Amino acid sequence: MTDASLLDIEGLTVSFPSDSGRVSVVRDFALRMGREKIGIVGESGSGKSITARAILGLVPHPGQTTARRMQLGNRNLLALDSAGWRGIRGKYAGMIMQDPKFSLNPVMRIGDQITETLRLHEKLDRAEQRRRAIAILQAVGIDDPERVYAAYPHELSGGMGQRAMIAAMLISSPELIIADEPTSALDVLVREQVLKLLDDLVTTRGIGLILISHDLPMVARFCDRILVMYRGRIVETLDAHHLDRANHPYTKGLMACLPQPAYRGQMLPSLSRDPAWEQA
Amino acid sequence: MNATIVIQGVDVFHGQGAQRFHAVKQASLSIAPRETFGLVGGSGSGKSSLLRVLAGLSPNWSGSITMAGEAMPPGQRPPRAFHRHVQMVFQDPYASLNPRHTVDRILSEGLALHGFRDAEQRIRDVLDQVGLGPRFRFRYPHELSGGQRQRVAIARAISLEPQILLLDEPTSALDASVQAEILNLLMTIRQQRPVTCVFVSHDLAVIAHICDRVAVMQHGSIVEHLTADELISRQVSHPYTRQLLAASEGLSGIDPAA
Repeated sequence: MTDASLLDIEGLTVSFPSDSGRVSVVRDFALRMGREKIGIVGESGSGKSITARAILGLVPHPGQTTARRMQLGNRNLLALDSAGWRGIRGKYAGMIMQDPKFSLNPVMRIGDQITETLRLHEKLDRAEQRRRAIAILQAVGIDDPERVYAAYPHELSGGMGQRAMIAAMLISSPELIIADEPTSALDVLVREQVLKLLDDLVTTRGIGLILISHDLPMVARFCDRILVMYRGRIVETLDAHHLDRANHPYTKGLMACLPQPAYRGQMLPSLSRDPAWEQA
Repeated sequence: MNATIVIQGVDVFHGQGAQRFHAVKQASLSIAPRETFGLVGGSGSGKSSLLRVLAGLSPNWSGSITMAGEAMPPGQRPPRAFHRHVQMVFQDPYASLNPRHTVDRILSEGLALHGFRDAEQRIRDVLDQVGLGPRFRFRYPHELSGGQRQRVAIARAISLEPQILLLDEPTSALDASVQAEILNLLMTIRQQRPVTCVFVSHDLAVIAHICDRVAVMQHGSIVEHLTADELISRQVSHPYTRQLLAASEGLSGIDPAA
């Protein structure tokens, strides 16, 4: 597989029915990425989370996903039925959700949740499963993996829970990880640690990462390229190291409205939205 | 001038007996009239626990607190008049408004409870002031965006003309552009009304933007007092404050070079 073709999406559109016909919440989304870190940034309702779900075939009923091309490696995602998707999710592509309190199963031990992927996709005996799970818990920076392996989610802090979630995604060595606001439910200090960890792991293991967030400066620090979404469309693609080269008024507006020492005690610039942005 | 809020040796607890958790330890601070005071810290630092005590929502505490000249007795619910002078805006506008009440009812309830006669006029004025206008008056919360809901919550708080406004992470559930609008609204309210604010947040950039002074909390204790200028110019001495600053570098608007 060549590096530029880990994920190749063209013309991805997600629509939902409404009283006045179908409403497209994602329109003509395109992304070609290799084993790199891509950020998707946008405000509530910009379609960033539903894009992530569409990439993993998780758009809920009655939503409809169409695309001209959607490939993960050499696998055509458009041709998959639900059994085919189950063979992809967890094995080749995984998702890390916002809040470990909700995304981990509260009545299942952490160890069982981590090894679940192995039971589904690989034939290993229980001792080997356990060994792999303990190793991955260690890799995500958990000092007492034995305890965490046997623990229930409520016995862990938010940061530990999110580490366990990352461990569960990594155990099957996926090619692509989509992290949807992975740190916004965490404490500021823990947020930093979890992001660094995720960054290290995807870099050293050569995993493609799509990091979805509303926090543009944070995404800029961890990603290579940033897609800015507004009302279902990509309005701008940015080099993460050159946010200052942003051209689109929406991107500029998003950066300008953050509190900065220069504006201390003054009114912040507010974002005035131009209907033309939706067409761009 | 006398301080509006004086807190001395306050301990806050959750639960009773062996289950008792010591959430805030020996907190002392005083906040001047019309000042905006920030409480910063990570999860579990006790900042929200202290704020809830100030709001009269959590009677399980000891020490001494004076709010707007009145001593607050520990261990009991404050009288109704207390809440006229001390109002709170909560973090999540999706949870703090009754989904089955219209904006009109949300705003009129407090006014009726506190015996305001001119509720009609006040509701109209306060909706204008928070930038919503009369067309929002008979809508339900689910018809409003997050920013509009937070405006309703702020309107509810200021309609009673409180002397003290307590703000618990009022912008952390909102998008950056909406956060800017709400911060601007709070600045305007502060200019127009003689109100003293306590602003709880984990976001140092927001705190530095809107507050005059800041207390940093960790594990239930106030570890450092700072002015906003000291925070911006990074003249901090406690290691925990340094950690917080380092974590917010790049994550938000505080410029590491400043």
